[in-house]
Amino acid sequence: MGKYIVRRLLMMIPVLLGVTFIVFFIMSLTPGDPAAIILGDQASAESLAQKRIELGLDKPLLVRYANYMGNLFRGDLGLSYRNQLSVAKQVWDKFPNTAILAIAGILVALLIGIPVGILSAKKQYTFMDNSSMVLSLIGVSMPNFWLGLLLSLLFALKLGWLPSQGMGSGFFGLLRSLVLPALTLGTGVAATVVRMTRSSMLEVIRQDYISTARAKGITEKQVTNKHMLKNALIPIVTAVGLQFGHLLGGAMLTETIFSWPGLGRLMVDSITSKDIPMVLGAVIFMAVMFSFVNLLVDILYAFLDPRIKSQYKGRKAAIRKEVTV
Amino acid sequence: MKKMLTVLLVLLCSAALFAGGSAESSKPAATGYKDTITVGQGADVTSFDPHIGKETPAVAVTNHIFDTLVDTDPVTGEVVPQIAEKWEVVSPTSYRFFIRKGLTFHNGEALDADDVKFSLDRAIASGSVSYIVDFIKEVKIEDQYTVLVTTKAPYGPTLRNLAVPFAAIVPKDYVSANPDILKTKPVGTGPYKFVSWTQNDNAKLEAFEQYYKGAPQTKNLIIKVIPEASQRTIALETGELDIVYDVLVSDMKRVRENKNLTLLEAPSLTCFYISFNMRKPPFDSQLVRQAINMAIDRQLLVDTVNSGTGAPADEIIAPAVYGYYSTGVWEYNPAKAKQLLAQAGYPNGFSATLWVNNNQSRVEMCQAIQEMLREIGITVKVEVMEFGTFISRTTAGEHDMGYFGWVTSTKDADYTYYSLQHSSQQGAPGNRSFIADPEVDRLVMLGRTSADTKVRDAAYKDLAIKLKEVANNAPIIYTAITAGANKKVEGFVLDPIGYHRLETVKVSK
Repeated sequence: MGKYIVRRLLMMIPVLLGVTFIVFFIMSLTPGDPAAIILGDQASAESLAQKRIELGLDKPLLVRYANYMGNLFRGDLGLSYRNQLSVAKQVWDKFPNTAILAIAGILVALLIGIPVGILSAKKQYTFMDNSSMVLSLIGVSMPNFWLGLLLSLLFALKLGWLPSQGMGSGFFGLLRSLVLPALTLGTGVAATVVRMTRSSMLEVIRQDYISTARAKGITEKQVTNKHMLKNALIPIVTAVGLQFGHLLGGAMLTETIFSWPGLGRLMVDSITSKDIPMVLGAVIFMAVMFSFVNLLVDILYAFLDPRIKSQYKGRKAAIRKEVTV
Repeated sequence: MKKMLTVLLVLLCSAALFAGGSAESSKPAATGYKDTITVGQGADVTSFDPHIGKETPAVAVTNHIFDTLVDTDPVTGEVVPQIAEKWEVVSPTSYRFFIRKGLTFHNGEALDADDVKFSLDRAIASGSVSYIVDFIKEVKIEDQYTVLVTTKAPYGPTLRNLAVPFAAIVPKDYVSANPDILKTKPVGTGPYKFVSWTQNDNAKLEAFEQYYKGAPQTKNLIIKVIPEASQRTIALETGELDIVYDVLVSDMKRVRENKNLTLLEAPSLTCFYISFNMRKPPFDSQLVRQAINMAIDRQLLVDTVNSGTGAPADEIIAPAVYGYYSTGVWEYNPAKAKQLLAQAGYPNGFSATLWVNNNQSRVEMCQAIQEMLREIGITVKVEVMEFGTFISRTTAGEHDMGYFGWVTSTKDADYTYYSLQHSSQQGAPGNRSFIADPEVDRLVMLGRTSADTKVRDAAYKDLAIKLKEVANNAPIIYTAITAGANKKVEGFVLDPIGYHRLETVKVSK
């Protein structure tokens, strides 16, 4: 297992190299002069030229890439073009806010998605199943910006229960301000979780071992939780893990609608102002987060399914055997 | 599964504790007025350094922290004293400023002539804002409270340029110790002092009790960033915000109809216009340019595309700008426009492109103009491009027609006329119609170099008439500055420039 984790961590290096290469060249080759964007259309030609030199844009593209990578290996993500502040600090400052929203969003998704998915599977083709499938289809299709505005209109404006925007301070202030963005973010993911849970539950629900479990006389709750759900969890964990990885990179729309100061908004602002170091920094961070979440999901498989754990052990034993021979 | 949920809950709670700061102190003062004004705007501050951060959202915050030598009155537009309590015009190229004694910066440093010289020299050296102050040749310290500003040539708008927030006075010792410090820890002499900045969230300011005009009416000022315009309106309706800037056209009705809210509107200093590239046929023909001007129904554009906000433009400077002279909006007359085209040798019209940057409202305006021009036989292709590309390609003169916006930031006609109409300013500085007319140049320079307002007024009147005849640009609309406010807000005045000072504002409980 340890070797597997180390190997996976090492595999992140080519992934990150690929990501920086692609993003750097896409951002640099798209039309638009960052100096003109920063200084605006009323700046003089001399100021523009000076700004380009300051930003290092007068150097050839490959030289700029090499310089960037050199700094990156020294742990320096550079300064933002837009505000001349440290990219690493800005990303790191925004990450806790995004993490809070992502965790809350996933929590909402799991709290809605798993129970509804289980019920749908167990009561297949009933009214309950059909209506939950329709609702989840709506949930998947409904754009976040629209749902967010509707929730704001209802809970902030009409009922006055919750703040319409911003990130509250203090523990309870924060929780209150978290409800609407987390619901907005979570319902979309919940819809995916419902459908995934339902289909993977349906796969195990008619297996012989479920009949055996029931024949042993254990309660239906135990059958569902210990025998069905545990065996159905692997695809659900995969789907949730992927979604969580996405959310950790910042939920751009939800963060924008609710003025949530997270990575997603930082990213949108940076892309529109062609702030290449900032975009690169945020994307690298996002890629690292995504890889970590994927790794965690893979490790989680081993705990959920003893067969996978034994595969790791088996591989280890086989290697040992080979070495001994 | 339960374990997983528990882990997530624990993670969430610990993250919330980790991120949660101390609870906000927004207790109302005992006077019957709130002790905090909360304002919402669409974008964040890029830099708190007044010699770098020049976008409206940045200045909306920093103009409370910093003062300038002189100021312009938001209502009358007149130049009034600020850090300089008085001034005298020594010669057409030199101005003497007498600095108010006893002024201190928020960090306790006393302000004197040294700080003024340092600040103006710093602004001149800044790539971002030098264009406002690069008319200055030298700032000479005469004594501790007197400076002499010498200009490179006689320059009429000197005082108005020095009133622009980009010419802010900053503390020399504080900035010299760390030239980057103002980006995140600004210190000035303005009515509010900086408290904190949470990027993409809010900037908090606190009243500066020693402000020379007296402490601001409200102790705390919070400027929140809410990029989604509808959410800004909702937050105003719920009472989370006292004032919001830039109300969306589609939200205006809601604000007007809400008995607790007021919608404030004022003409801005921004004009949107089409520049014809006079280097390219058929736009080298004055008749063609006049015909296009005549084929555009500006009132219809205001009423439809702009949903009734703003006003039809007759000049590239707005009425609130010093030097504006009304020549009357171009008459909408497609039949006469067709005649002019025929006279110019294009009885069947022609095809051309209209370039615009990727801003939705600008694109919609161009699409409407495209249809209007089709009526007189001109087939226009609207080409949308990213802002940087738009600027660099129009600077190179590759366009037929370009749709531009221009803000007369100094509230003085020279700022716009010199950049957009003088032959020396072709390309990047702003003249993208590539006009090079000796009479236009003469009038621009007359207005620019004279300190006599009578001479300037006459020059700008003649210039406006001449430019209408030359028609190198087609002025389209003047935009409006909008803000929504709770009816409990008192003393709020909209400044046509778009950034408003709030030291006189108070909000009743």
